[in-house]
Amino acid sequence: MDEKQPLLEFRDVDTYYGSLHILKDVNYSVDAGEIVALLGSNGAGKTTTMKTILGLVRPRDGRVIFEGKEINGLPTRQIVEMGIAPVPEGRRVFPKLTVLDNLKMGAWTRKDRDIQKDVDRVYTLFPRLAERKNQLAGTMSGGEQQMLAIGRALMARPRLMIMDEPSMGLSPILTERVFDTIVEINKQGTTIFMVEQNAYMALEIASRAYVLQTGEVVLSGTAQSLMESDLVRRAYLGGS
Amino acid sequence: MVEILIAGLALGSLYAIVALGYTMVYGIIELINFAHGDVFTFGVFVAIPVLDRLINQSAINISPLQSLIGIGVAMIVSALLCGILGVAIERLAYRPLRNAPRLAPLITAIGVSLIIENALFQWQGGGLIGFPSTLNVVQYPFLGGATITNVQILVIAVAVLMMIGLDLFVNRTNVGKAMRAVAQDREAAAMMGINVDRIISLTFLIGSALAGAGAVIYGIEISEVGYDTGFTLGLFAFTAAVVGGIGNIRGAMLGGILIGVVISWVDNLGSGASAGAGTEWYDVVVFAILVLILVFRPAGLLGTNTTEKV
Ligand SMILES: Nc1ncnc2c1ncn2[C@@H]1O[C@H](COP(=O)(O)OP(=O)(O)OP(=O)(O)O)[C@@H](O)[C@H]1O
Ligand SMILES: [Mg+2]
Repeated sequence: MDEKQPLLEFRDVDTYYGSLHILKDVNYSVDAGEIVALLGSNGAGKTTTMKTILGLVRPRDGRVIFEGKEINGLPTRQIVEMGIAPVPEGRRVFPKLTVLDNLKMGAWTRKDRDIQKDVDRVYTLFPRLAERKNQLAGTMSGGEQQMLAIGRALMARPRLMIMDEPSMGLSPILTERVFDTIVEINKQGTTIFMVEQNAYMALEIASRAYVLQTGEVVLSGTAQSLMESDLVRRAYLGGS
Repeated sequence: MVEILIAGLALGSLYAIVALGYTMVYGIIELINFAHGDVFTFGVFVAIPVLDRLINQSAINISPLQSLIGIGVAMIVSALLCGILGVAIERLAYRPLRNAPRLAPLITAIGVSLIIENALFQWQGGGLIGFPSTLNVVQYPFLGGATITNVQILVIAVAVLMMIGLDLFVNRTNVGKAMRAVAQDREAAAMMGINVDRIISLTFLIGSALAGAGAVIYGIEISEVGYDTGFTLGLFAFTAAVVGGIGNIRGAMLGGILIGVVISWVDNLGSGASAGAGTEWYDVVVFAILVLILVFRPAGLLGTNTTEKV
């Protein structure tokens, strides 16, 4: 019905680690402007999904399409250059670079070197980073590192931001802050595809979601419908 | 005392320059590049014909201008060729093994070292070769009645300039920061869109080019070279890198200077009755330092133990 092409699409993607079959015939579709959540328990293949988008894991079968172009098979660097920025699992900030230098690395693919505006934007979103701009990232608290990882991804001015458990290790208050920030980033025009264990909060801000179970998409739909589904309520929302 | 220090600094800055190549490569791909010392020897040998052409050896007085131009050009040529050799080694020998178990590239590095050493042996023979005389040695009075030669000034000045340049590059430029980013987390660096292969090539280029430029000032200072010169020097330089904290650039500089000064001091212990007894003690003292450091500060003087895994 909808004629416009999705920003990101998985078409029947299969990935393996050696002989281990991880993603099984997976289909996702993320439209421009959306926040889409990917739910699933440990080992379901959520991080593998993110790595597949980035070309760090290559699908053995199927296609990954970004803005109509097939990206599976491209080197990570090229995929990132096309406008995809990751907030990786475990933050992965550069521990011995300062906060500011970490942000600069996030802007690496930018052709224009006029990044001050973006640095300011990140500092406005996370004032803590401004206070700590000359501190080594490795000496920051987990929550601060998470802010930095998000800020660093923003520096690329991505069209698509893929986030792998942005609330990992954050206090409830900080989680709330980060989710508010995600909504704000999205309002400013960045599409978001987000892995989350915190299903309730993810579904609150997402427009649609997928549920992954041992490598298969077992459920997908609007956030509203998933929130009401028995499966999600039982497995992820702690409901009865 | 001051003289020992000056001689130590002049020798130590050479170790430091070579140590930088070991430490940069280790920092970025966790490989001990055994071939680095041989790249250095290659640098000494390619400088010889350049200097022969540019500096009139038969002149009783070489004009300072001729010395300066000759040395400068030889350093550039040597740095360039060593840089290319270093990049080629990485591309052909190490890159295909990037994801292999760690023993594989290590053994390969030893193999590459042997190949270059034997090639140099074929080219230059097994004996010591005199390095062209490049300048008239002049002694200047220095603090406390000591003297310093223009060669020592040249060696120290060139080495210090290269170290400052490298330090600024690595810490102040975006490419230098990207290099450190790759060293700290290669996959995350790739996720930033950094071309990891190119950064690793650049690391080999810089490390090898420094060795090449250092090789010229080595020739000027030591004046005799053989096909295995870089092997011995490389061993001490590598020790310097470990003493300073392998992977740490300022550590390599510190370690190099330290070992140079200690060797210069050992050199002078033997004066008097047993004059000249110093040389045989070099290895003993240098490796004793290594052992002490490994026992009491395993991460090296400036290294940190903390794992960086989040
Ligand atoms: N490099 C690897 N080699 C082999 N197996 C792997 C590798 N990485 C992940 N796996 C396996 O693939 C499966 C999916 O892993 P993945 O990291 O995608 O899970 P996840 O959904 O992100 O889980 P979590 O919520 O715990 O982060 C797991 O069973 C994991 O053990
Ligand atoms: Mg995961």
